[in-house]
Amino acid sequence: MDKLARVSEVSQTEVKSEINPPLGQGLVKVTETIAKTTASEPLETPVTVEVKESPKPEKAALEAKPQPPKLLTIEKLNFYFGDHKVLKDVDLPILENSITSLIGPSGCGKTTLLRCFNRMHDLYPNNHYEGKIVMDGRNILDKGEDLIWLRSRLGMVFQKPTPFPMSVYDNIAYGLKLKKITNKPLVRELVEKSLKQANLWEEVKDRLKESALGLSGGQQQRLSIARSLAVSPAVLLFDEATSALDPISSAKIEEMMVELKKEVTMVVVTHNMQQAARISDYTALMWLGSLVEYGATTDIFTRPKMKMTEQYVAGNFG
Amino acid sequence: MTLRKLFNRLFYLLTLLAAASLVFLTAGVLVTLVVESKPGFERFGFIKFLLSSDWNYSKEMFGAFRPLTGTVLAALGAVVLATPVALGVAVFLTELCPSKLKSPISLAIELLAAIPSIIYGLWGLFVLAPFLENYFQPLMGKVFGGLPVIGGYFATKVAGGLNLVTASMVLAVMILPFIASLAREGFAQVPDVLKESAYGLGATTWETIAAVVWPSSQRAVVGGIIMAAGRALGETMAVAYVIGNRHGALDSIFSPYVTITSVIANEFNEAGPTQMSALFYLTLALFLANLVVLSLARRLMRK
Repeated sequence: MDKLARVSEVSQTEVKSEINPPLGQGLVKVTETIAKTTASEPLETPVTVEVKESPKPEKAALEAKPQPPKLLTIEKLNFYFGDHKVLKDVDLPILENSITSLIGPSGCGKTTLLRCFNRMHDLYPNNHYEGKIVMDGRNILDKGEDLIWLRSRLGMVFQKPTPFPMSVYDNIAYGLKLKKITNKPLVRELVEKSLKQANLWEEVKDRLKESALGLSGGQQQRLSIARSLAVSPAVLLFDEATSALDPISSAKIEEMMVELKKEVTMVVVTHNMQQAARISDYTALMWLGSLVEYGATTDIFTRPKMKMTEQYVAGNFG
Repeated sequence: MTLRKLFNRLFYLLTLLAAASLVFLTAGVLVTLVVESKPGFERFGFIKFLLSSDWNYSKEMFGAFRPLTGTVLAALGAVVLATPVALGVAVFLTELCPSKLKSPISLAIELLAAIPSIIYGLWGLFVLAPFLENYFQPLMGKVFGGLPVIGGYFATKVAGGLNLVTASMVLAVMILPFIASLAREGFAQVPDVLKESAYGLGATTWETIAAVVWPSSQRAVVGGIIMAAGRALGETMAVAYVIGNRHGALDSIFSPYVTITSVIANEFNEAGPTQMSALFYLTLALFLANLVVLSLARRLMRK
């Protein structure tokens, strides 16, 4: 499995080397490495070479845009449920003010990886982490990490909407109350702002005092997002957040996510390939707990380096 | 009709019979109680019977006030004492307990529920009552005895440790496992993802319980507490051992008193006809009280 992880490192290097043409020499070596590492795999020879040789000029210009800084860096992350290793040497950057999609077949570890970011696994017994997730120069997987603080920095939205059994207003104000923000006008302002960010304000502004349980599924999901946004997190983690919703509700949320990029970094676990292609800037494909390939979304979907990626995005397996 | 269909029909009838037998049993109990209470009802009426604190064998005057208040107060005291501890146990087990401790603690709770009530009665009589008499009652007398108006209710006016408080404490221990397991079930029904989203906002365990777990399970838990109160109302043996069995005024929480079931247990053997009818009448009152309590609990738990 180490092989796959190494490949992913390589593919990052490659992304960089495209930005700086002088490093192009490295390419030869890189492609060789890929060929070597995948040689023993049942997959065919990677398509990388051909892709490298004829980049369209305008594509190249597009990719020459400087990359945003890394907000989170996953380094050699292993994760175990008991003795069972479910994440294997994952290396992955999460770039600021962008959307990163995690795709892959069921059971590949993408949700497990997402739940490492806010240490959700710590709520349950018998699991442990190895490796690092670096944020602001700190490893947030450290034993001494303040999880209360961490989780308020990395909000999470789940597959099912999770309105709390209280009013719409109180749902949003709840996180603020946890942060001891109690100044009424300020709370009101923040509630309105986050509901607007979540494209929900127009629909609920006249029923703020009503129970959140009376909203429709799509509204409840946007409420859950607004609630996370209210505490101004640095990152929002979406765990298949639209898979239980109808297409119109999903579209509203997707639209909102793209707008939100200005303010928050997002990591999205999704089974919906079209969604990953539509909204995300970067995409990572996982398989059996390892990272197969990471890159700009357009590359992953149009010019994947790995045969496996090509097959997966084409719907040939998974 | 094929054999299979015939069997299916038979199966339906069998289960129906089983269910119906329960209804008949309950109806039978009710009919017996009503028939046997009739002389008492004719003699004492209903409201008068409930409000009269007479219990006079020679004049054959009987009233339900003391046994009824004793029953209600002992049960209420038990619920008040047991609920906080039981909720603590339930929260610890569902939210905080390291997985290794989970099964020993759950087992301890279940074993506590399996101890026969006479054992609790003997424990109350030989262990708890002397302890309360020697240490707890003097202390309470000293601390609260000086208060105006209510001070007298904390004094030990009849020597001994067999009284309403002792009965409540024994009952509290007995219903604790019941409340704890019902509350635990209620808490466990709250979806993980709801708790996770509270934790995900940076809530502590306490804040998560207050915001999400309690509001979502409140009804089930309160219903469970009321069901436990129903059990405490009907508990006989343990209470008969420790309540003191005195048909006197309740002038202190440390006074010996009576409950409906303790009166029945103590007096049924030697009761004359009028007294016997009064005892049935008491039982009918308890039956109705339990009916009210249980339907309240069911209504709460169903919603």
